[in-house]
Amino acid sequence: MFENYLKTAFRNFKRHKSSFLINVIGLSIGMACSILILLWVLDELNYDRFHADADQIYQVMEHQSYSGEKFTTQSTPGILSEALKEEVPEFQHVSTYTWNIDYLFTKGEKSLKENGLYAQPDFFHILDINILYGNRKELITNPNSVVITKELAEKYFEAQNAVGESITINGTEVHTVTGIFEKFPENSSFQFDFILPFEDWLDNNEWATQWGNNGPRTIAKLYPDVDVAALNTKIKDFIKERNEDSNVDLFVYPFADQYLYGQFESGKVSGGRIDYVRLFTVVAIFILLIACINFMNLSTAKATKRAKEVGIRKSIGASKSSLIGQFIGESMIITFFSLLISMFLVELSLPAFNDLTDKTITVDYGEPSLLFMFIGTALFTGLVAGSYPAFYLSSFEAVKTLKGGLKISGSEAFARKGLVVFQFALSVILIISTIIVYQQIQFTQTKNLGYQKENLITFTAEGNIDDQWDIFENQLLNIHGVNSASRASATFMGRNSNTSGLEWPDKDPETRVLFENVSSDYNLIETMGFELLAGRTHSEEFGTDSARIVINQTAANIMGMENPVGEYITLWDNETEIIGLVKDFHFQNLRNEVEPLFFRLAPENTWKAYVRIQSEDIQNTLTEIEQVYKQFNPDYPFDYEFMDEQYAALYRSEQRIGDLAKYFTIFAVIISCLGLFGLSAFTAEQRAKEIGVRKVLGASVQNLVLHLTKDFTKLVLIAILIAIPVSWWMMDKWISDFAYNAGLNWWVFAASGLLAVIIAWLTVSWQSIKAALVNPVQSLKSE
Amino acid sequence: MIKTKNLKKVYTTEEVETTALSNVNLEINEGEFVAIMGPSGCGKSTLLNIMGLLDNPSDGEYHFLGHEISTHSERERAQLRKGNIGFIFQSFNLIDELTVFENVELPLLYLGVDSAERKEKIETALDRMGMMHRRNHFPQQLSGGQQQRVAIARAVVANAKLILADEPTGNLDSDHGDEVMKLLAELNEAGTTIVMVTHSPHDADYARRVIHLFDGHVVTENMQEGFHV
Repeated sequence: MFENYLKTAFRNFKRHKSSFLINVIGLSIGMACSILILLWVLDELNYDRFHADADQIYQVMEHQSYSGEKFTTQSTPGILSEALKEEVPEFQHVSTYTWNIDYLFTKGEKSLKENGLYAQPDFFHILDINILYGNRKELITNPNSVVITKELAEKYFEAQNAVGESITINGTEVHTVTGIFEKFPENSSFQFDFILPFEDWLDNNEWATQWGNNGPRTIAKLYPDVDVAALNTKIKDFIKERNEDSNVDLFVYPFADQYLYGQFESGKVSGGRIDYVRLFTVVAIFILLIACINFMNLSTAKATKRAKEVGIRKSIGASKSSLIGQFIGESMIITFFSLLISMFLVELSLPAFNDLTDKTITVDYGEPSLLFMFIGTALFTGLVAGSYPAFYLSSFEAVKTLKGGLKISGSEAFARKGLVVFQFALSVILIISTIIVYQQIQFTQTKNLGYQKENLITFTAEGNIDDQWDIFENQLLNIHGVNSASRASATFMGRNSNTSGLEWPDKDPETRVLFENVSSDYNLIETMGFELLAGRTHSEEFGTDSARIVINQTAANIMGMENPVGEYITLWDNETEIIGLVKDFHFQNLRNEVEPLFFRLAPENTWKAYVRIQSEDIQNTLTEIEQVYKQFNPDYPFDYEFMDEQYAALYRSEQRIGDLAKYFTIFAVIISCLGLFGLSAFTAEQRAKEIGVRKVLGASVQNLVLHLTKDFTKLVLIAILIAIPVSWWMMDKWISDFAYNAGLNWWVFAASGLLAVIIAWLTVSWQSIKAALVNPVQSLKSE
Repeated sequence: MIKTKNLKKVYTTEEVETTALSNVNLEINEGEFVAIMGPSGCGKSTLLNIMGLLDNPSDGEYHFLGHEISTHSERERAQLRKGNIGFIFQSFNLIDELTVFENVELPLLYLGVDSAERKEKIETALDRMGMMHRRNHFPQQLSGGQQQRVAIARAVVANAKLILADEPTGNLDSDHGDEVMKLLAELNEAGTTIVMVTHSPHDADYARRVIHLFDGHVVTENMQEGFHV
């Protein structure tokens, strides 16, 4: 029997080549898109899950309260781990560690920047770090030890086992290699090439030993079966008990959840990358549905041609269920055939897709879960696409089909129209959303940030440049193309350092406000191009400017000062004068509001150099700056960045989402059009006689084309009417995540609708024109 | 074999109610060859469809092979139809995508007959209809008469006890029509019960009994005296 079904199916495909092709093309593109998205989703979902005891690993985090608002951070005091280990028995291992740092590694002639961090010995017992050489228990127990990756060992020592060798870090410190570890896989959000003893760092950062200061992060492994909710209640006031001024609620959060659920709002998880994972899962389902709808529509449209077969089979004794099985089987054949093509398409597009998503996804055909995914996608598609036609076709009454009196019922035509509307509504939603994402990216890139991000370069002021800044700066200023130079403790690409240690007259003692604290050198405001509204900036002419600050407008508003210049406030218990007011500028992603900020003259705390250059002959200027740089730091590579490029990189994930959305939208539209093309061909064929009659009666080709296009236009218009409110609602939610956004423009909706209509017309008119040009003699004779 | 009691069929659409059959009482015994005649729209085909279990009566009883089927579900009717009833249509109704051999094979497939037995039965049936040499052709490659012979082969391949023919010669010229009628008569000789709807008195002559329908009623029933062989 199966053989008979197969034969019928294949001969049917052969007879109706065009609809077979439309189905296969649509389904394979649809499945290829969905498989790519699913691969991406799978990769995202597996992030950070490779650690053996991933469910026991937690990040120790803080909710800090500021005047009713909660700010959640990974930063903790540098002494937290020891205290937790001693006093809270639920913690099996705890390690404090620093953020990632770039350090200069020198061995012989080789001198390069490497990226790593400081951590405590427990670090190796919490995370699944594969130690290739060295004793896990004695890796970073001694000062001046270092643990490096296999890659670094090969790079600097030309051997994997470099245990016992020494290497110079930052030009002066000599460290002994005590262990070699394997780099984390790509799907780890946590990457580093070396680990130094945290105690070394703490020695140089005394401030971190105080309970009131936060900076380093703390990671922990809990004993199995610890009641996390109870633990969080228990440690909530852990820091407050040690520092009565504290506003911190301590809690632990699953380490592996941070990647996808890393955003907090008012002390609660508010999302993170999971939003995009969900969004793209929905897009995958959308695209697959659009392809399935093509199949459903073409199959039911062709139904009259299959009706006779249904009648014959039924009269011979076929039951309804055997017919359903046959038709679903046919759709399965098409989908599995399309699956083969789509797997080929996936292989073909994977490099470009990886490029687009900055991933290194590969398809391992030996992996059962992936095979399961492929087959699952095809089964789902075959079932969704095949079931409606199967139930529809098998429900034909034998008596009617054999008499040839099968009429397309109103409800069936309605269903087909409904599906076209649904399909186009999805496409229009995708078009609108993509345009809005791009518009917002465009908005972020062209928005005036309150300073000139162009022609501004930045690099780390380290080595001798840190020690001899003034001489370095003077030499830079001798270069023709350099306008000014300064340094700061801030990147202006996000929050770097903040404090709530400000008191001002009339301040409510209950309020606590977090101010961004920018340590700076002279000329910073001038170099960056921040606009001074009143007062002055720090200047050597005024001697002891270190007890004076410059604030931004938001800070002035929060402190309720109309003319802040000349006012006195208390900063960390010292009387401090406000000497200047700058216009608000954006120092974070535009998702965030501008927050209160002050500049303090504290060159000793700065680490980032900013150089304003002229727009002409940039290459020459850069070469000259590098020459000066090399005089001071001959061993360091001159790693500079343009501020505008750094800023653009802030929106890399939005850019990626936009690019992905663009491609998937294009494919969704192509698949929808394929379906519409097939359907219009069918309609034209079905109405051939009507067209013939109309033509004989005097209708012109234009009349006829318009007549045939009218019905489809109506459907697309209805689709647009549905798509507009849905996409408005969706994108309003998305865009309001940005404190500063381009808003939703009505013309985007209008233009997207118009685009959909034009695409639909182009698709349909081909068939309509073809039908209208047929000599009526032919179509009228055929019956 | 077939017995109807007060059989009634009413078609209802939103506006009109059409009575296709009313109070039809019939009895057809095994081995009979019955022709049903009457003007267009008199209910001939409706009666045939009900007899063939393709349609349910609106009222009355229908006994087929001892089963009272007027209340059977579609699934039960399909089950009973399999192997017991063969259909022959005016427009042949062969599946275009299947070859002659495969078309004839269909009833056996639905009956679950194994492949060796299937082959034997199909060949026997095709041989009987003189269509063996065309076994690998598709329906469009055959003349109308040939197509109808394939359809008859299909109707008899599973040894159906009852063959229902709906104007079997309607689309054929008189030579081919006669050929088909002769085949049916032969089948009847061999024991198969045949019920045939026809417009043609010539064809009706092949039957032993003619039932005349008019406006859904049985008007007359004649036993044929000297029928063709």
